[in-house]
Amino acid sequence: MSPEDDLAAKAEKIRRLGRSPWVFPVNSGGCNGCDIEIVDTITPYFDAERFGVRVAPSAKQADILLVTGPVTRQSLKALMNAYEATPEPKLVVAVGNCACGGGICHDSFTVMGGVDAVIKPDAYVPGCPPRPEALLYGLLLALGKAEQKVRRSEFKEEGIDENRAAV
Amino acid sequence: MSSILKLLRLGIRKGRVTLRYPAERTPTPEGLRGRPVLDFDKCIGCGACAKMCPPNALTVEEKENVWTLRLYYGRCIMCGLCEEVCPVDAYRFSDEFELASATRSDLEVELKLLRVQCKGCGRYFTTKRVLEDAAAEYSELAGGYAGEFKDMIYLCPDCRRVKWSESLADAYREARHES
Repeated sequence: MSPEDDLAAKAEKIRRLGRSPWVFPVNSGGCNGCDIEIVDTITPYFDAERFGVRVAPSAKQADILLVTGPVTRQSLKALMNAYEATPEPKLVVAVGNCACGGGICHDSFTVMGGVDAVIKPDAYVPGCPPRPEALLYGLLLALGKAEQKVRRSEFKEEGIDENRAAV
Repeated sequence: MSSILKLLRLGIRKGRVTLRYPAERTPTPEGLRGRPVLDFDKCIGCGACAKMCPPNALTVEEKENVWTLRLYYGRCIMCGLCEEVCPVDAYRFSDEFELASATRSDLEVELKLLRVQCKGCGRYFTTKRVLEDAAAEYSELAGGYAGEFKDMIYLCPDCRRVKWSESLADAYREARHES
């Protein structure tokens, strides 16, 4: 099962839930930039509520966790508590560079280096911070309503012998 | 009650402000730094961008005859330093900002270039494209020493230093002999 199929299956589960997906932002030691963008996304200008996305008052009422920050050691317990409190089926969206791969503080001894070090996120939303549109797009991708646009690209110069490189 | 009427009047006067984002693409400001796109044909493999990159989104791995550059968009802060430092303008900042992805590997770019051996000691020291670029750029500047320069360019920095010192010592000896 590919990760995209997995994502689609989870989104289908949330759709069958029969109600709007509510989000709960969790700041795991970020600089607050991404949180401000999340607040921006729920304003009438970008209006995430068109897709039923509302900010839940507690993780217990949420369907999607929006995790920001590089997961510091101090916030790890709080993040895991929020994750465990969220009822199934749940989606985890890594918002911002810090959550996607540690970001600017990836090599610090106080951080776990991104959400994927502790929880497997269902969608990555890169950006430092991501634009509100990018965040909205990431939410739609997580809900299976948008197509993914970026693909892995590789290039290999002619004459490269992989077996020789491994020696 | 009057405050609600005030708000209503404001709302009616202002009209709809919500963007139709996913249906219509919102116009991006000019000069927006979105996703950096690496031109694989232009890149010569000098590694300046990887040295400059503040969050280490660009990493270089040198292994025998293969030089690998990896770019992970999940860490790129779109600062534009790679574009600034690139000697061949291989980076271009597009206005794409919708980078959300379901997997980590979709956010990666991998470029593999061939490394060359030093003609003196035989160790791998730089990429083939760097040497080609240097040869094209400096063959004019070298002038009368073009022949000598051609030999020098295929040597690793250590061998080049040794050879240069030897040629200097020879020249000094000759000059002393003449006087």
